[in-house]
Amino acid sequence: MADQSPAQREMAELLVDALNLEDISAAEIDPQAALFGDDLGLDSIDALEIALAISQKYQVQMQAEDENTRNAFATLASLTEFVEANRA
Amino acid sequence: MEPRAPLTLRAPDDHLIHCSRPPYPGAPRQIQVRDFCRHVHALAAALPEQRYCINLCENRYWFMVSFCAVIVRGQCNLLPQNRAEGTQAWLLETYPDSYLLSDHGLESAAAEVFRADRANTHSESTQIPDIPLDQQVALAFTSGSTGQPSPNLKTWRTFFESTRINATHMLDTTGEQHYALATVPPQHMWGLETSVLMPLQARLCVSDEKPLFPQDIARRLAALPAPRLLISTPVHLRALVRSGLSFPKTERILCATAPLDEALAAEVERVFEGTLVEVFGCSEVGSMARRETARETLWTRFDGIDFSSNTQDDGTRQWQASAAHLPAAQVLQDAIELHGEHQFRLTGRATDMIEIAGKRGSLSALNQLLMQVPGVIDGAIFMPEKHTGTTRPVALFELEPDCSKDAVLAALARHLDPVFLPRPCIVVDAMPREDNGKLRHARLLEALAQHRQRSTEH
Repeated sequence: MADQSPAQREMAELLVDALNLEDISAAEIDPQAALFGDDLGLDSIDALEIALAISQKYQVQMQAEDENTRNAFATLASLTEFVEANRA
Repeated sequence: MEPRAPLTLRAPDDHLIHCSRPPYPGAPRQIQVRDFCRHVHALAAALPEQRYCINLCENRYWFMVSFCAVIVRGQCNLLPQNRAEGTQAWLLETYPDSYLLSDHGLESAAAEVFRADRANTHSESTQIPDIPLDQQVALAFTSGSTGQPSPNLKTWRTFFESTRINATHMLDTTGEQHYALATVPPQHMWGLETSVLMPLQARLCVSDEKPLFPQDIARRLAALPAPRLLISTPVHLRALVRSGLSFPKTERILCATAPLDEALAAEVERVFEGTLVEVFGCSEVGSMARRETARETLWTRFDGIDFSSNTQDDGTRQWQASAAHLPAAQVLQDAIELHGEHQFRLTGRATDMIEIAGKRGSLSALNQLLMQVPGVIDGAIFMPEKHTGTTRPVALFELEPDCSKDAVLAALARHLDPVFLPRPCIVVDAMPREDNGKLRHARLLEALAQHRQRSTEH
């Protein structure tokens, strides 16, 4: 089990739900592991799904041309932090 | 003298590309045909002396200039079906007389990369080049069922003629210049035909960007003058409608790569206040037919494209498409039911081919690849029972004790577009084969159901 804050755990559950990640449970996502590329191996279709789920749940819009968004997609921890900082 | 046709039919001062930022110092944001030709001549002279170019540019301006420079230099563009490193390595090995070209800091373990953005951009000549119609200008790769990508030869005749036909059937009849935004990459046939080739002939000025998220697409569209045109896929359009955002009026939306349903088509038309035209095509042939999906169920074939069928040994009917500009008739992966001379309905696909997020792959090729992974004793990749356009395939396999699931995924990722990576991967002690060695689809689905059952209990 990875050490997650309650907000990270909530975000991890959103990821597992939105992406049907059957190989991993929300509790197992390491907050510092790379979401795209090596660790979880997500792709651009997943990024689109995550952005939609986040906009629906937290009313936060992701924008790829915004450097903050690009950095936000790095890990579970950064994604959680970005949404916390930008939610209405 | 060999027959030729111009690189572009646009006038020298027509606007061709709308750039998000000037592509090189001193360049305008809206690139005119004359600026474009100048850059094409300069880059053509600077390219390495090789026969084939693997164009990996991400920015559409750089892709387009490089694509045309390769043609003007008399070389041929290799258009891989994905960006996986293994695919690049395979291309470089299969076409030893080839090089990688890019517009950004792409590193490749396989070979040196020619950086188009670091080459000379200025030439004195603004002349529109004439290209020999029989020149091989591109090889577009599709996933063959043998596990190896198969090349589809494109001559300048094919592109020149098909683009003329496409423009007639995809654009409106107002004759007005439209500003186009594409959410698809230029390397993919759908993106190439609409966002690269069409602006060279018809009244389109295309944005150099490829936005992904709904908010980015809204902003990029707003940055373009009206009337606007959006080139996209069902995956992107579904996300745009679901986002609930408002979008600038977009007069025309072109959609292809996977089937679109009538309800989504109607929603897209409402959200964008425009007309949605769905296009049917494949990489081997290009675009072949259209329908306004919100109002039409039948497809109307483009003039110049003909369909014919013959009966196979096993009694099934196989359909082919042919056209004067294609080197040969092409077998289609789809079954067709003709309605009169110009219209038809699609009635299914050949079962081996799967389509995920608009990308087509062969299940038998995926399975061959799986069996080549060191440490995999036995295994299968298959589609789950219920699937939508973005459902991933599932893998079930038996491993050597020293091999891990992650190692198998990493090995597959070297060769596959990420959308084809199996999810989930289920490791089993033994594959559910029958006594005669056969692996029935139903048994694979049962194994998946058992896995899901265990995951929920756990």
